[in-house]
Amino acid sequence: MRAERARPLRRSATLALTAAFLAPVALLLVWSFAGRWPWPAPLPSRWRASAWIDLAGTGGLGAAALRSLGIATTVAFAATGLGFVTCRSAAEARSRDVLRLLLHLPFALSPVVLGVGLEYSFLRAGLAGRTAGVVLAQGMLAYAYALILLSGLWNARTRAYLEGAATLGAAPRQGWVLVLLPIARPLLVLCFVQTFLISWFDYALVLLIGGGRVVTLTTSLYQFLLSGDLRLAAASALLLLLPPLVALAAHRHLRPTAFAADPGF
Amino acid sequence: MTSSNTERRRPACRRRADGLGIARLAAIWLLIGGPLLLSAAFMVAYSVGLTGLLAHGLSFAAWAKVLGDRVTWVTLGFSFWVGGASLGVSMLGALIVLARRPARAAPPGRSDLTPWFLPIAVPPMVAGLTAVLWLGNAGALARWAYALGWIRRPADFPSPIYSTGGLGIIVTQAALVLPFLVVLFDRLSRVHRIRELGEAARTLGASPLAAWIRVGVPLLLRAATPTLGVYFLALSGAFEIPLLVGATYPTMLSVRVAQLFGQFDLSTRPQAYALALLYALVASVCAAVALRVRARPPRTERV
Amino acid sequence: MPDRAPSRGLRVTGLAVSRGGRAILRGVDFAVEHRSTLAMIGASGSGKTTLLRALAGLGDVAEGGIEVDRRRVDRLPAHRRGIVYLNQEPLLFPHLDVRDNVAFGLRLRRWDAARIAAVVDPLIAALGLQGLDARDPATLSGGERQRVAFGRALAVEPAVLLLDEPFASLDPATRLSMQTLFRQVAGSRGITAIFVTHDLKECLRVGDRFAAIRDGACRLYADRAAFCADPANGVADEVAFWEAAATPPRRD
Repeated sequence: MRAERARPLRRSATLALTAAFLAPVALLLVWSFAGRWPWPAPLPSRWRASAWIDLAGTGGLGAAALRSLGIATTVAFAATGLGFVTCRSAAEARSRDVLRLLLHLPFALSPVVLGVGLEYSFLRAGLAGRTAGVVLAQGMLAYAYALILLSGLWNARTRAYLEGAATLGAAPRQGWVLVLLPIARPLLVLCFVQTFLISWFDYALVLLIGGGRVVTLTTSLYQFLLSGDLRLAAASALLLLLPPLVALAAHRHLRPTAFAADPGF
Repeated sequence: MTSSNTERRRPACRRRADGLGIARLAAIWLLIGGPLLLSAAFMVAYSVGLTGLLAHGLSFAAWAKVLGDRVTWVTLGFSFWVGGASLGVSMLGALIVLARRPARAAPPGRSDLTPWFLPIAVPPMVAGLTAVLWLGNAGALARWAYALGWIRRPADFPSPIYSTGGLGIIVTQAALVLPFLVVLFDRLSRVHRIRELGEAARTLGASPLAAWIRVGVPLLLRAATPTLGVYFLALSGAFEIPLLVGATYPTMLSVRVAQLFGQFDLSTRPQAYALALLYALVASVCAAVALRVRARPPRTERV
Repeated sequence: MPDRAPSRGLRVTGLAVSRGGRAILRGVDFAVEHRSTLAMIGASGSGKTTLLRALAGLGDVAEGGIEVDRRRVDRLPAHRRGIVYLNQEPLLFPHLDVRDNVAFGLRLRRWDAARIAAVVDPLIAALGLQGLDARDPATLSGGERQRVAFGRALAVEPAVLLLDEPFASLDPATRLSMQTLFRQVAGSRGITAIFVTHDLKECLRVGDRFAAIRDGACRLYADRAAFCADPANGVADEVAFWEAAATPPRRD
């Protein structure tokens, strides 16, 4: 009975949510095509597609998007891979409380504090102002996240699966490849998506470590906004929304397992 | 039996895994703890004039300047106010959204929270931009208000953007965090069986609302405290949204540090480091407190 | 205290496990003859799971000797002992279907498809799993899942099979049919097994020999009669209960 009554309410809530998300996106779309939009016109007085044509041209938006994509993909691969290999040690470490604090610190500290702190050592190491430096700084953040997420894999059930495989004759390596990897796959995909987004969303570390010489989508967006070019800023914003939305659409088909529901830290 | 004898009888595969485990644990500390410690050391050295381009030997001038400056304390206070208010608003919102959920029999393991995931796809930079484009004095709402004859000048529009109380930042951050909290609370209420516990409270005579307020909310908040603590710090130290939506004064900590750090003359850099360290110290203590009070779900030895 | 040394089968001498300075198992000695099932009764917390896990080479560090078919295995890692441990929960691999679960151990040995089929097909038939080959384990009933886990263990022809209350979570009817199935398959395939349970009836149904584990010490009985005669095992109590229940209450 309750469920019956709740259904239309739930549907309207879903609708409201989707609208709350779509309205800003629609506004960004309008802005990205706005040729002239002086105050107080309720809609642009002229329309142009120049922002989107610029994507393929020399204006730098396309290059920034590609660089962002490259950096985020590298960070996600490295953090997820390394996280998978080391997450058991994190999950079973004797100093779990201290380790948990350490892994959360990069998130608890402001990204600016982190970036300002890292900048000087990166400068000394010749990494500041370079894409590699940005990858490394974001990678540290993403790796901490990967460990928090993936150590949830090491619950009693996973251990029992591995033990079961061992008594059936699986050597440790076989257990990892034939049992752990398939069981962990949904969580690994989730980890990859999330670490990709950590890098993709980042502005502070690109700004501070990249020092203006590494141009990504987030830094271009801010530069366009500063220079008053709202059309290009809106186009950058829409590009920034694209991969997370694709990931989200794909993620619906990944059945979340019980493992994903219990992070280890 | 001597200890060496016990060690010898340990199955070979476990012993090897332990050796590897120590190496992996060392890698974790090195990759995350190493940079953090190194950064902290450099920041201390720079802030007291022991290193850097303009260093003239040990000097606490930067620290004195930062600690004695009213702006420092306004900045810290403002950051925590915005962080706390953003979290408070979104928490309240999430608890209201979920208040009805415990009564429903959700299919096990699955929830229809998909639309809640949509805002998770929004980078803070984009959230800041859309806030400006919608809510700013020249934003879409202001234009429509003008078209409807409600205002005559951009300044007439009651925009939360650039407000000195941080209203724009709070609204934008709360909107961005609310879905995360809904998803978090939903997951925790399943892990901690809050629906069943609520039903137990109902059979003991609690109204649905009373069951939610007396059983659901306290359990959720206790279970979520560590995560909420980290969220609070992340919201207090946020950068992009305050940068785009915030007033020129007071600013939030991240913006202030970036200003001191990024100015063309390097003379304010030691102050940037001092302020960053000061915040790092406060945030680390907060994080340590929040993470320690974590409510652990009972771990069973057997499967 | 093995009364005679079996030529083949399992032989355990002086097995001890301690955890955090506390002894969980103390000097356990027993032997299981080749092709026979030792049924072991024990309350929860008596150390029975610890004993089985120690035999399988899982978890805690154990002291003492374990011989399988006259071969010392106590220093070997779990995957080289030839001892399969069957958990109370079936723990089927969720990413494999029924057939692949049964074939798991054979795939590890890199057998070819024909050879695997020659073992797996009759096993699936013997366990009454025909038609379920391609099913996702999550869609099976509790009894079916336990049969698949049983088949997965039998496929590798273990030298010793350890069963840790395998039927405890099943309903009484399924339980009974699984006990019968176990007797049948264990008999026809000549399996050497230790079957641990806290259920007296189950213990008496599945065992050839009997033992009891209490407070980390194991007692092996010469035969069924000796097991039933020990008041600690509760057979007399059980008989007295049913006699009393069957007697109509006297009216004065």
